[in-house]
Amino acid sequence: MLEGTLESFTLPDIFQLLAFTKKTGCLKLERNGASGRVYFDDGEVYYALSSGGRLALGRRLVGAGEVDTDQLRAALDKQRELADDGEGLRLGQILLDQDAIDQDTLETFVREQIQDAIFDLMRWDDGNFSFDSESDEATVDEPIELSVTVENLIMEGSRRLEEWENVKKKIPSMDAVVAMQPRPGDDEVEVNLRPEEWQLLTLVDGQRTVGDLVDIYGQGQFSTCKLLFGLVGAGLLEVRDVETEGPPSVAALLQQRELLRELEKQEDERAREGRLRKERLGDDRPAADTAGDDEGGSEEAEPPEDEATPAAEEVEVETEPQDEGPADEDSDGQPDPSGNGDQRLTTDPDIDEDLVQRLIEGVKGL
Amino acid sequence: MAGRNGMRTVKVVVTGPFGAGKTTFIQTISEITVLSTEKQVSDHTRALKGHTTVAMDFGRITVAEGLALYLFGTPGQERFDFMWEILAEGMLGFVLMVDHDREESLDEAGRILEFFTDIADVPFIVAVNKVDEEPESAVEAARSKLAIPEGVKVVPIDAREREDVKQSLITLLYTVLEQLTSRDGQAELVGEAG
Repeated sequence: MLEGTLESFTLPDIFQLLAFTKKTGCLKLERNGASGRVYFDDGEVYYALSSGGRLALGRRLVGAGEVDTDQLRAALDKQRELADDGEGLRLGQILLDQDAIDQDTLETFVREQIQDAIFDLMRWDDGNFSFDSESDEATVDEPIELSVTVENLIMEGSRRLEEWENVKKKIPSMDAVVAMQPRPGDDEVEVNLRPEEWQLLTLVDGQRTVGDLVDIYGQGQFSTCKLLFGLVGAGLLEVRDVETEGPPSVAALLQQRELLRELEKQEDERAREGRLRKERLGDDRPAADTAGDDEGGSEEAEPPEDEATPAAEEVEVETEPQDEGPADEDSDGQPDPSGNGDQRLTTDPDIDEDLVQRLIEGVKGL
Repeated sequence: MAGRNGMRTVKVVVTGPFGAGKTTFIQTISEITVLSTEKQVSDHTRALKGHTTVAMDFGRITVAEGLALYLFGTPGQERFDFMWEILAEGMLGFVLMVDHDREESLDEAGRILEFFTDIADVPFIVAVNKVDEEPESAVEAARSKLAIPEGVKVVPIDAREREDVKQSLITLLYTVLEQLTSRDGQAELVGEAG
């Protein structure tokens, strides 16, 4: 039996070894209660699952709108019927048999399921692995004849890992809450959405977390988070860790409206008191303009509001001048024409002339 | 960037308008079957009622033991702009491909160039693809239309020809080398002055 730790032998290394030696069996991975299985046939992967990125095929098909409720109900009834007769058949296969989906669709979804599992496992920095080629657990009853080359899996996994580093910057955790931005960014003139982006947006309710959306949307963690990343980048969504960043903007907006309601109530009170005060002043004012006028009433004699004598206790509102320097000024006092400093990407500082020379020689030698 | 398997990898981005020949460029030189998410995603989205979507190509060239050049082709369509920044992260430089046959695509190329030069201060070259005759005038036309500075190389290529693709990568790498040499020279001067 082949076994070891991922610290000493990475997943791509193990995959390459199993592919080169054309092994058939199950690669088992374990780490802190999490587990994964990758099934090989003659050195190629035909099925994989991981406890972290597991999303059943049925969920994926439903999430993608590939099967409707009636088709799903009929397939589940069939599955139960077969189970009662002691037979087992996967939901995907039943849907295929019932012509609810075609072979291409099924393969696409199974392939994505495998890739998601591999992507999840490739993010493990530690853990144990063992390869079992003999026991009953070494194979899985997977009716879909699908095999994926190890090289493609590793390359796609690596590509995803690279993208994931960026995605993580805007989608920090599966527990973060996703909400619509109350206002699109200043640069947004026109918003174009793909069907799958629209589909995902309709699931955002300001309460659901990233993990909830991954689960409901049914397209796997990577695909869902990548779409969310794009929508956040486009200024349509925000993803917040509620504990550290507070509630989403929509909730904050509602809170602010509540606060304003308090303020508006106080202002109404103040306005009402002001009116009463004016009425009192009008009653007490010496009737200079109406001297000798027996009929001179205070209401008729009241001057326009802007000419009225301010009451002694009238609230005075002051605006203090803000002692702020000019906007976009550097610490040295120089204005920054870009407004936010030059934050452009630059060549990796680890790249030196020797490395580039090696690259040049290498490309020349191709 | 060092990969998990100890392989040193360097990233070059191949960008340009839709149909400029980015995929062909990468396919011509890549040692692996180019992973094109266009195919994967279109398969995936066929289930989502069949719409064309992201096209991102990925190829690899192992140039020496433990050293590989990764080629990332950007999606051409405007609505995938958000992908560009992801792809640009950590790149050594980029190749802007333009289609000589479609002059109208130069406007789009100009927009892409502006985006990349705005977000990244890295060397780049312009590769004018599908040039059948008079390469000099094609190069000049592209340089003029895109307002390419004199110091930036503009080269005519046929993306289907391996030698052309090789030469354009070598041109980009020499540009990177020049910039590194110049940067180091300036650093030394600053050091001496200090």
